[in-house]
Amino acid sequence: MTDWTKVLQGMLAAAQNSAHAEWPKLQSEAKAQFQTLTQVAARIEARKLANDITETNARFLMYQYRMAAQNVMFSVEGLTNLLVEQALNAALEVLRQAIKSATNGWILL
Amino acid sequence: MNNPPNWIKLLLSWMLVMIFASGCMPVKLVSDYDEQMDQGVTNIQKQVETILTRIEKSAANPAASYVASDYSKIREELDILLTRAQATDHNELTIKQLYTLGYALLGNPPLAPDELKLGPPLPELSLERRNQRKDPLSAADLRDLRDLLELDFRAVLKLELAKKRGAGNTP
Repeated sequence: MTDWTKVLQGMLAAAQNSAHAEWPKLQSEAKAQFQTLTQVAARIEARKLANDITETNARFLMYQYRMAAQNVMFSVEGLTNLLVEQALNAALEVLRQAIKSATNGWILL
Repeated sequence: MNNPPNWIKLLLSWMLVMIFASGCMPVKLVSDYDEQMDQGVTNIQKQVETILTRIEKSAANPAASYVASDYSKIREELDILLTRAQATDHNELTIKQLYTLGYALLGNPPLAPDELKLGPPLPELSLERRNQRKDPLSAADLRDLRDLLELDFRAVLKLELAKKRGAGNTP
């Protein structure tokens, strides 16, 4: 039987690795979404092992699972991009203010 | 060597300023929030909720609750949202999410272009095709299905809502 806690930890570590410094702001949402994914996967696996699910329904649910997981990953990627965008623009604003002050108030940027 | 005329100096200075300024415009990696996208995805979620409630009432034979127009409405809404999303810059992730949602729900989904690298859909495993089958869905199947579809919609809406940039609105 799969160790789904370990899978969840692996997913979080991989996401943290990609999100770098932005991870703390992303962590809670990513964890919530990944947790639901691993919980559903654990339930489907347990039902399959207990012969409590038909092959038709197992295939159907695993496909639905794959589509949901894909959309969760796109969402996490988008949220990371938004955070990176915010960080870059904050840095740019600091540069803008520094140049404005160095040029006695000229607004160049 | 003669100095260039003043008007050339002025023109060059202006061009330098413009080049510098354009290079330092705010960085944009993700499109802006689109209220109609938010609303459209929420509408599809409501339609799916209606379908699930209907399936639950005839879980012993899901085909008995199949209504083709439910799915054609979803297809229409999805087509409109895809057109909107494709007309917007920096929106590739939302476009991928919409195609993926279509793959999960529809027996005849809009197909993503190859460059999005989503892989081909398996329409026979979509909600619509399962709704057309006569073999039963158990309570546990339906619970898992609900959780997965809810997660799917939440992922799409979470990204759209996070695009509402501004103070105190980090994703």
